[in-house]
Amino acid sequence: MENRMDDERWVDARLETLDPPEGWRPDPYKAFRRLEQRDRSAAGAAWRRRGVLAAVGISVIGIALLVVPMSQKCAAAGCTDRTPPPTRSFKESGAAAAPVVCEIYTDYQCPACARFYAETVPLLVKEYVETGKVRILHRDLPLPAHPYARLAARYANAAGLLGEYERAANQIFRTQAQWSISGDVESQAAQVLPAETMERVRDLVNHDARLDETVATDLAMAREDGITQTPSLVIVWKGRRQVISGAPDFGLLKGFLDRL
Amino acid sequence: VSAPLKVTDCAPFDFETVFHLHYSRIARIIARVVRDPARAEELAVDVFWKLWRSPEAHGDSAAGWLYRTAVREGLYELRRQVRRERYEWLLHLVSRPGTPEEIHAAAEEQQHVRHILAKLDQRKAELLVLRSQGLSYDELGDALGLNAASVGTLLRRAQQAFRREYTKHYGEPYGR
Repeated sequence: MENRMDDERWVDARLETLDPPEGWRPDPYKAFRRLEQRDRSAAGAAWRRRGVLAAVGISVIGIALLVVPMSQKCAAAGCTDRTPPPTRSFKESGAAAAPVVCEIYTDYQCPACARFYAETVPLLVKEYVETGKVRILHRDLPLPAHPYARLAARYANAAGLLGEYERAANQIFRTQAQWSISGDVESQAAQVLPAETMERVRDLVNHDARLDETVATDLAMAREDGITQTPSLVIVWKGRRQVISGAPDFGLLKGFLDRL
Repeated sequence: VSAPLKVTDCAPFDFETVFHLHYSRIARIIARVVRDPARAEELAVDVFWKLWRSPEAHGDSAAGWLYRTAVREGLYELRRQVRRERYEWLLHLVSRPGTPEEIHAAAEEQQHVRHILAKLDQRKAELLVLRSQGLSYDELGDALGLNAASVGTLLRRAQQAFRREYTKHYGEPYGR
C-alpha cells in the first residue's frame, strides 16, 4: 500500500512538470472560427467533387434519353405505368428562387422529429419560407431502430404523389404516439385525406415499389452528408452544404439564417 | 396507453455547446504532452473537426470520445517530435536556435517525462496523461472504454511502469 502511494506521488510529481505555462488560456472563440473556416473549405471541395458527379449524371441522362423510344414500345405492348414515377418535387416548399435551401432529414417515428415539426418548422415557414428567403426540402431518414418509420414514409410519399404531402406528413407526425405502437399509420392518414385519395394512397403503398426510391435517394444523400441521426438539417447556401446534426431550436436557427 | 418511445437515436446534438464546454480542457490535455501551446490549440481544433465529421460520436459519449482522441493526438505528436529530435541529432541539426517556447520547455525533467511517455505503452501513457489532467476514474473509464472497477489497477500498473522506465533511463531525480 505504501509502495503504491509512493509510486502515485512520485509519478504525480513528475507529471506536474507538464503543466502548461502559467497564464496560458486556450481561446475557444478563435478556435471555433478556425473550425468554421475549415468546414467551409471542406464544403467547397465537396461541392467541386459534386460538380464532377453532376457531369457524369448529365451524361447518364443523355444516354437515358436515347433509350426513351424503347419504353414507348413497352407502352404499346400494354405495360402501362399507373402513376408517374416518384419525384422529390412534392417534398419541396417555398420559392424556387429562394437563396437558401433548408433540407430537413427526419424519421416519422422519431419523437424529436415530431417536436421539431410541431414547434420549429411552422415558425421557419412563416418567417423564412413565406417571405421567399428559404426553400424547404424534406428528406426521409428512417432509422433502423424504428420499425414503422419506412412504412410511415411510404404513406407520406404516396400522399405526396397525389398532391397531399403536407397534410399527410403533418398528420403522421402529429399522431406518432398512436401508430408507433401498432404500425397502423393508415387509419391516422385516413382521418385527414379524402376517401378517394386515401383509396389511391393505399393502392400505392401496397403495390408501388418505386415509393422507396425517394427514400433511397434521401438515404444516399444522408450518407454523403455524413448524417446518421434525426432530426438533422443541411443548409445549402451559395453552393455550400452546412450540416447541422441535431435540430436546433428556432432561435438558434434564426440566428444562423440571419447571418447568411 | 402508449409505451415510452426510444429517443436515443434522435436526440438533438448541439455541437457548438459541446465545443465551448470542452475546448479548454481538450487543449490543456494536449498541451501537457506536446510542449507548445500554440500547437496544442491546433491539435485541439483537429480533434473537434474529427468530432464534427463523426456523427457516430455525437451524443452522450461525446466527452469520452473527445478525451480519448485528444490524448491520442497528443501522444502521436509527441512521438513524432521525439523521432524528429533523434534524426535532427543524428544529422547534427540541433544547433538551430530554439523558439522561446522550446527554450522554456527545455527544462530537463519535463523533457525526460515526455520521452518516457513517448516510449510507454499507448494505453498506459493515455491513462497517466488524462489522470494528470484531473479526470476521475469514471471519466477515464468512459474515455478509454475501460471498466471503471479496473481503472485503479490499470492506473497503478501504468504508474509503476512509468517509474521503472524513468529510473532506468535517468535515475532518481534530485530531491525525491
